Amino acid sequence: MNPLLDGFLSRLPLPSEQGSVLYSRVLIRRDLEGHRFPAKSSQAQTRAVSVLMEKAIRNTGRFEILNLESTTTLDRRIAVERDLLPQSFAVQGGGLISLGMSDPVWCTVNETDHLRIRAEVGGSDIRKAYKIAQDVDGLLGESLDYAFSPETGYLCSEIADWGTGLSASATLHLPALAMAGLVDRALRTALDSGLSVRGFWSDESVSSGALYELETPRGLWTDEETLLDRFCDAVERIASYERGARDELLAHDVEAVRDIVGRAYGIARFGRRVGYDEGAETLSRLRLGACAGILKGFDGSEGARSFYALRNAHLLRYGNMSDSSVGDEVPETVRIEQIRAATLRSLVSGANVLEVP
Amino acid sequence: MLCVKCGKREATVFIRREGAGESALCDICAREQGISAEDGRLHISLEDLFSPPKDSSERPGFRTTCSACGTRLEEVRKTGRIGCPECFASFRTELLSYLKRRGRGGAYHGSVPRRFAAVRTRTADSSTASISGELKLKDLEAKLKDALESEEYEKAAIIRDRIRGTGSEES
Repeated sequence: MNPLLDGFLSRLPLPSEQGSVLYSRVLIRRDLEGHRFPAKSSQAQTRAVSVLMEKAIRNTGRFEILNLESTTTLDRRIAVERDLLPQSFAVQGGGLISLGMSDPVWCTVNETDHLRIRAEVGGSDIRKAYKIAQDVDGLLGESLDYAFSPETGYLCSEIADWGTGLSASATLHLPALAMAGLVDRALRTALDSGLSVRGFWSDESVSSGALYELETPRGLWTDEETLLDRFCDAVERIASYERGARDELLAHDVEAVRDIVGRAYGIARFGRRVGYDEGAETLSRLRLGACAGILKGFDGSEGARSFYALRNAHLLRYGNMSDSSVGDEVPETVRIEQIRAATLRSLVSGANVLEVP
Repeated sequence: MLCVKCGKREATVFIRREGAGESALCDICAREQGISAEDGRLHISLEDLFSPPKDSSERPGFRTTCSACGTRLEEVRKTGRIGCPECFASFRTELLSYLKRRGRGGAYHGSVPRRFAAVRTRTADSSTASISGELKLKDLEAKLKDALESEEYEKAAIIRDRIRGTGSEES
């Protein structure tokens, strides 16, 4: 694996151990004055922007620059799975990504916009993520002329993004609400607050592993602090619904919870081929068990990080392939399912389902 | 002040009619409207002098193509994307109207880039409209300077006219 990418992935923060908010991220979009936007640029114009950006980014002294053309297909798939960059950018060729040397922040150049700055934290401290991204934005803004109009804010390639250029998002794990059939009602809070909601692994509303992505609307003209306040309020409200749903389940139907955690433990402990959806659901229930005190010896943070680790490219790179159950002469899809099963086994190797919580 | 009809020539005929506002026309457009100033006299036809443009395409300065990147307004409407920052200046009225129809009217309150930060600090106690006006003027002046330095004179003329328009809005 590309060492820069590998090093960066290992430095990314761990997700929350017990909380519902696994990760919080911000994205800042910026475009340059006097340059055509990427979709309208010729190769020479794109290259000119890349050179300008690379110089400005190097001058901050905070980033390592990675040309995607120097990475393998598997590396790029891992970066896409880990949400470092969108699929379209990974395949278009000639892309540049800058990885923070000490902070969980990275920038892409010539995606849909000239520059996109992303920062991530584990848990719900979105303001910390914003501070990290804002620092980089300010540093780069010292030497770059951002396209801006006092009437509309920062000008981006897509009109819908005009404004602060800021988006905030959070990944939430809502297994208790999912089990109680109350996810839709809880997420309506987010919708009423103007946030968009989608399944973490797809644009569908139903998600494997009870994972959901909440995001602020695009192109807001309110100030950034107000935007983040509203976002935090909505996210905290949903997180409190999840805690409430979990407490209710444990108070009135602990056997139902023990049943699904026990079954998930069984699949993880003894399964030999596990598809992604089943793997994500299993992991979700194991994490619920850990948070509810029913499953001991299972690290909730490691479990949350494993939502990424169970994805195909991650398994091919990092999965447990030394397990004898993983065949060498099988089709890749079967091999991946076997590696996933072996990975789940190693996750629960020290875990026990308690009879009494 | 520029002629409100053609947007190119200096206005020399200023007309005010009760209940219908004011109009400022150059010699040529005034003559087309039935007004001429000859022989030291003003000759006025009975034609309605204040016919508003039938649609935006009759608005002075209406453009269908960005002067910098060649993106067409039609393409912007279809894709929701502009080709370069200058597209905003080229299609400003249409784009602001588009944003307003989508509930994005009012003033911008977010952060500003470095080159505007000094203006915002200086006008911190002023009204939002005043801040916006001064930021707009500073932005246009900076763009005019860049256009002149890069010898893009047509672009500079457009920006100069917008500065004049901003100046009259402020007064």
